[in-house]
Amino acid sequence: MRPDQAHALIKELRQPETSSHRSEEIQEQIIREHQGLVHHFIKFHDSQSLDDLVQLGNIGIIQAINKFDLERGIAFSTFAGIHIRGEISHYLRDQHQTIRIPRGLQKNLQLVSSSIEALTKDLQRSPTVAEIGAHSGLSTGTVLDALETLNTRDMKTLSEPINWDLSSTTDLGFDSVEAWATIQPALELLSDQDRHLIGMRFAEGLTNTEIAKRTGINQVSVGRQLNRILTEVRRDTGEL
Amino acid sequence: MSPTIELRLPISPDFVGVLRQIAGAAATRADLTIDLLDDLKIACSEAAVLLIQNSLPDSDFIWQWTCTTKHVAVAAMAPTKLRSVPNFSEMEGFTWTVLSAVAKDLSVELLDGSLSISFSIHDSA
Repeated sequence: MRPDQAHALIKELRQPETSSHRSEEIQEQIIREHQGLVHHFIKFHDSQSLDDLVQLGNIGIIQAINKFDLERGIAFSTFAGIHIRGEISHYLRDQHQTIRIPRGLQKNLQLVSSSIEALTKDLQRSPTVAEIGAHSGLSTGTVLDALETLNTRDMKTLSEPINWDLSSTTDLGFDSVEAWATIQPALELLSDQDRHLIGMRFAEGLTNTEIAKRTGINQVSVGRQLNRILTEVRRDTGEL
Repeated sequence: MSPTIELRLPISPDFVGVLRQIAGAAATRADLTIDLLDDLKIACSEAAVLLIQNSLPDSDFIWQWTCTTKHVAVAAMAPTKLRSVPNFSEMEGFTWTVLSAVAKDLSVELLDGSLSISFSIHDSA
């Protein structure tokens, strides 16, 4: 389907006088015409149920139809591709989320995490690895391993608030920052909370410690959440 | 002890985790705070993605971290078929946007058929 055809159909769909029957027809036509795109994104996941993945891809297309900005000047298929990939990868991530952490490692993670909190309070800045090692009694190598584990694993073993009050942060309006305006479609896939985190960290230039102070989430959790978001966006935009 | 850590790795997303580990060790050697350690890990991951996207298949990339007090300079390169230096800032990519947000002294060059990305992470306080 050519970009101008997709634009015309979405425009018609949004007209108040378009009947619900015609709306359904348009939606079905757009979904049908983008099945090649759905299959392009699921071809690497042949061990999964094909029907389920096609359904998820179609949900992605419906989301794209609802959110597509006709004024932005990008092709609908580009926008739909991001949503299709997003739906599929979120589903796959949820399938593989539970990871068991050995008890010894859990203890080290808790020691490192509590040392970071205590030292940040005492020093009024984020600590170095050597300072965490001295405070926790762990070697710098063990601290480094723990930091990487804390950053890359999705764990529920440490008590931490996952959500915070968004009113404590400002929505930067990424459109006003030229570099970020160009990647707006990728940011639209994120939850409000994730978008605010990315905004504070990379557009506003805050450190993890500063974000932790502002939001009330602990510093380790900020790092982990950012790492997760970066991985997801990279995957959703096809950059890796 | 040499201030420089050098590493040669096959160009593959499978090795980005290794780069993060080395970046952590380099930050520790330079006595950076864990906020800056995190910046260094993010910058190395994003630079790796850019090199992976633009490298010749089945080639290696070479990484160098030079650690001095509160300062780590990174240089990474990979063979490429590009004929001119890509203008990443005009390519609307998430990866470049994040890399340029965290890395200081960021530069991209084409040297003898290799794409080279260099940057530093340091304590500006």
